[in-house]
Amino acid sequence: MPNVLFTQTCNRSCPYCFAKKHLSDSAPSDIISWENLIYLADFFTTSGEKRFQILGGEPTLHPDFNDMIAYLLERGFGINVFTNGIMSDDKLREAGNIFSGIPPDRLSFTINLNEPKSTPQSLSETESIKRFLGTFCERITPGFNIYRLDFDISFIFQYINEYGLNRTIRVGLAHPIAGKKNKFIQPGDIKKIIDRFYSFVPVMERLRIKPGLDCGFPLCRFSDEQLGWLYRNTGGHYDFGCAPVIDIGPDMSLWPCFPLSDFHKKSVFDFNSIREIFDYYEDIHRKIRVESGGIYEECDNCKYREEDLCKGGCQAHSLNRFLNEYPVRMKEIYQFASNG
Amino acid sequence: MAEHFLVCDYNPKILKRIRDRSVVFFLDSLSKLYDLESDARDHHIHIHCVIYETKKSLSDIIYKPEWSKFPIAIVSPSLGRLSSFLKMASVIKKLNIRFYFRTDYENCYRDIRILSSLGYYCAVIINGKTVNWEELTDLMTYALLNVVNHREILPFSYVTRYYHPQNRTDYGAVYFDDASRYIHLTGEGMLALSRKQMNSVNGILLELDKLDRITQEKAYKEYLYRWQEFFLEPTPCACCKGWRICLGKYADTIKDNPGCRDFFSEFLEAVDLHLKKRENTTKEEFIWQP
Repeated sequence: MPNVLFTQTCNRSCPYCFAKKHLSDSAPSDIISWENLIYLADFFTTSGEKRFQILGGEPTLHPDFNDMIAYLLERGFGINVFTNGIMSDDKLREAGNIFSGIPPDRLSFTINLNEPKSTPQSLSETESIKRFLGTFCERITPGFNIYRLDFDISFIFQYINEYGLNRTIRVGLAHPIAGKKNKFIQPGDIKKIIDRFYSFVPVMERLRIKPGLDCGFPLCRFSDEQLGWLYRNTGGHYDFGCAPVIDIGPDMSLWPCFPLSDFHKKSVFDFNSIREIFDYYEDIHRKIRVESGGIYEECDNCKYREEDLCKGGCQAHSLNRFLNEYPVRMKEIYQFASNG
Repeated sequence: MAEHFLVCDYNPKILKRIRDRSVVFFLDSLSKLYDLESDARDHHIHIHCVIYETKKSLSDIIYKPEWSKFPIAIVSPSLGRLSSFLKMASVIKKLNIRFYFRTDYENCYRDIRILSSLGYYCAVIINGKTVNWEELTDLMTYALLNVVNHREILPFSYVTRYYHPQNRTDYGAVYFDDASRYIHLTGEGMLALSRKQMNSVNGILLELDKLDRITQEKAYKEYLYRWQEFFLEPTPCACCKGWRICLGKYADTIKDNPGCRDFFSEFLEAVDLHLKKRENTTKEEFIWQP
């Protein structure tokens, strides 16, 4: 399902943020209007889509955040909000009151947590996050973005136990913004990241915490033992993919995930359904993959990639390999993709 | 001709004089509904509708399940906090209620769209001085052409219901301002043809006792056919395509706030499209249905 951006501003500045470039290019006043939200609710309804994924910037900064969530719930949608959990006391209290009776499968949050040591935050931010965790407890899936090799996720275990959070950690790799500078994991380091993450498995097993890996992990960097553990903990539903993740901006512009937000922007109004949007961007992704390959040299002859078991890592990495020829080559690729 | 509805403020003194009539009552407080109910029962008065105009937002009103006995029109400046309003949704959904918003308030278009999309009946009161014609056009398009179900929005749906391509369509009844159906009554028992006339010195037409003869009155007939005045002189309205719907309602404000011509032209087109769509949908029902 597409992500819908409520705002284009954030109250944090994470070094790995793959939305940073997009947000810095946007006006802070650029927030979703009620007219656009209602249009999207109708658009989702006619497309047969039953869930909204709400994103920002930081979506809770929208002045009508609580009312808009209440609206979508009343329209019958299920909602997941991606947030950093830093919310004003009044708004959080109000949200807690309004949404207390809503079942967690209809309203949930994925909170992006930063490791206190490596990515310090102020005391007031930490307190605010804790209040958020205490308010929404079991509705919350903790998320963690890896941008350093020496990451440590044990602080999340503590949060899960203390606040009764969902016992799955959504782990994402920090990806590059194609052609821009942000902190991200180099393809050559992904194996190290997987091994380090796997070193937390004994504790995770003991605490019955499961992994939820985000997109862009290449299959070949996992050992058989690691794959076995993943399989056992995800019921085999894990996908080593890089499908276009459609983001819809407050102004109804569309792009195929944040790291590629500079490329091939369209508008929701150009399409009749969500299926059409996905078909359009999947086609572009496919054509770019043919041109740019995977994130490793060996992806070209990889049987997993041939059999579509792995997409060859995040496409933003692949596009980054053409940096020197940027922007001419990029334009050619996209032109080729859009002309078929 | 069907009997007129009377429109008046709720005033216990006048009730015995309007026995057996259908009446639209203006109330200054919804707590008076219970008194009105018992008074109406005592005097055999049929309550056609109760109008409550308030400065409160809709979310600041405490809705009561007992109100379900009454057809209610609430005229409010705004929706207020949607989340607070929705807390009362289980009660409100069972009420026979329609929310009116004036174009005097800039967020009225947004609030109407929110409520309509959530299944609440709404109406927009178009003030020629304050209306934003572009926003009203968007709202009208949403009301008539949006493919996803939503509750009707007046006066747009009213026009589609009564529209005839070769005739005029007066949507004044949406605001109880159509003398062929609604006659206004002062606290002193005098009749007028509109709320506006009721408050002007020369607007009073007759005494209440003569209500049944009102259609014979020359002033009444002139009032009903006042639209003909637009064609006695070369006014801009007389050659406007949208006149068949607006009937010159915005002739006084067209200089200060132009845009009605484009709006009503688009309105007509949308009505045609809407009716075609409905016609096609109706045809489908003639074939076998599972």
